[in-house]
Amino acid sequence: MVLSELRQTPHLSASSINEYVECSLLYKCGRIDKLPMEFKSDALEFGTCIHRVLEAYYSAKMMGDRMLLKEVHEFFVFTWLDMARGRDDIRYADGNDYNSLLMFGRDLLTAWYTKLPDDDFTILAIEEAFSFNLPGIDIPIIGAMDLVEQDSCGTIIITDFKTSGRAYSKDEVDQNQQLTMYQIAAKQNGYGNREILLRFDTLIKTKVPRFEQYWTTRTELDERRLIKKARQVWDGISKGVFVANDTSWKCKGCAYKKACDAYLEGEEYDQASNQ
Amino acid sequence: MTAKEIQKRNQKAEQLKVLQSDDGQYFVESSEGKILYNVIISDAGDSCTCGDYARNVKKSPDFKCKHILAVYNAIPQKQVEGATFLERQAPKLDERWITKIEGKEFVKYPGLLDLGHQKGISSIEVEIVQMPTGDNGHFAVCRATVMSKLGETYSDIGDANPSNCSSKVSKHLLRMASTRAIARALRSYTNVGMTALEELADINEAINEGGNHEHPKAQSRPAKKAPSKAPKKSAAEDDQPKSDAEPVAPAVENQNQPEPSSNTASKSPARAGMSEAQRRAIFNLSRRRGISVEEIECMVEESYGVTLDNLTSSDASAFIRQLQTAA
Repeated sequence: MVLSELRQTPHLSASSINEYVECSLLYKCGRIDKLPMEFKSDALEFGTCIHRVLEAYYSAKMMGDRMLLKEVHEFFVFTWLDMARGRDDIRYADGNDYNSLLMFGRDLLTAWYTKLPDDDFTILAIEEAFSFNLPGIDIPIIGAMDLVEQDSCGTIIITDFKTSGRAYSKDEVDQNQQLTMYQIAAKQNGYGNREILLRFDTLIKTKVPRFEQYWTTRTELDERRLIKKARQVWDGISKGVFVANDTSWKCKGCAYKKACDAYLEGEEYDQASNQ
Repeated sequence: MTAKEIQKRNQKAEQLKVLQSDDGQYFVESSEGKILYNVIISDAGDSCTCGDYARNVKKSPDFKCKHILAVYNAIPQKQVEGATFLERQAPKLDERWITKIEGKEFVKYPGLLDLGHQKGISSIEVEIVQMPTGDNGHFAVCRATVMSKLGETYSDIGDANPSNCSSKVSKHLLRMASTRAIARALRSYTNVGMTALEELADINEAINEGGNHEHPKAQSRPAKKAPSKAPKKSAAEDDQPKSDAEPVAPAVENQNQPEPSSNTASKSPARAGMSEAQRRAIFNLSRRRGISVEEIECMVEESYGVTLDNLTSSDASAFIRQLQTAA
């Protein structure tokens, strides 16, 4: 199963459900109308780059090899260079540019590498794509788990790699929908009889870079709540309900701001209000 | 010794209980019944281990304390009780004071104290070497001296600052430094090589979360696909960070998974022991909530009546949930 192929057909995912709930017009612009983004945020591109480095590290580990810190740095530099150099569609936050993130990425990966616990877990999968169906939702739920491991007792550990500007709060970890969706997917895909633990491996982009692991679990109640929400989201999508949440703090950095303004202020709006 | 004094002592002696051990030695119980004095009756002379005898025998070699008199009185009247004495036990560190974290053994502070008292502590003194203040980065240093009943002294220092204490005790740095100093001095006195739990900065240190990559453990499982050393091209097909990532491993349901080393993979055998991942989750959650190892041990014992190491997989699962919902 390849995630890029799964994405070619209509689907829902943990992030798309979240996006619809936060701003359903954003969902429409990006996922239905497939409008080109006005820009790419540096955080998004940088996060993707770091993600690829971690993926390479675990792929090597899975084969019984181990990347040295020097190799991790080299891989990052090569990846960042390939991804970001010369691109003018990346919008850098204040104080950031291509070079500063190149320097910072190495420090961030050093913090991760030196703090990463040395465990004996067996790697079962990296970038594990999944797809499953839920009653009441006509399209599949898809996604990919960054890392799936098991310990000697057979407990499954599903990890999601994150880069974040700050440490996560208790609620952010314990209520995260993405991890809940991973647990549902793991149960649907053969791990239903296993003990499942969930984890965020978070590279924190503070001035002094940090690395934190956040372990968590989900109950069946957590799963039921997300499934119910997914059904409601699908209901809204299938009925064409897309409401702009134009008072959100996220609007300022939204990559569909112009499209949103045009939608709210344009002719379509006038016709509707005169009816 | 005057006749009046002898009469007075004899009266007192009549009240005392005399015992004789298997090897023929006499022991006389003190009037309060708390101490046994060893009385030796022999042709070479009588003696007693009491203070009265020690004081007076110097002045008068024929002095007889009330305990000696009690033995003299008891023998003809056959009022000597048979007494057997237990073998003296060597000081031993009870296993309940040892906790194992990630294969490493740590001793708890009460265990060191217990062992110290078994050996015979005369006194423990703590001296403040440095008060924690803003100028020194709230760095508290104490020196502890343990004195044994034999007069030996063992001394060591302990330090505490906000970065080497858990958040729970960071407001009590002086007390923490004192506890650590005493623990270290007691370790010297009792000859315990294990680190005391209280000496650790936090649970991370105990479970080696600090990262130890000196001896990486290679994974024996062959990969399905070699990792690409060359970075992938950025794709703009989606706004997700992982949009263009190629899956490396096959789908979960089709995987030829390695069998877990025990039959505990299923949730159903509720008696299966806690797994390594569950242990890590427990320590991670407790650390994030500022709960110390000792508090965790107490919580487990209160809730499940067993030590943390003896938690079953299902209980560990419930405990993780309990920690997760803890404020």
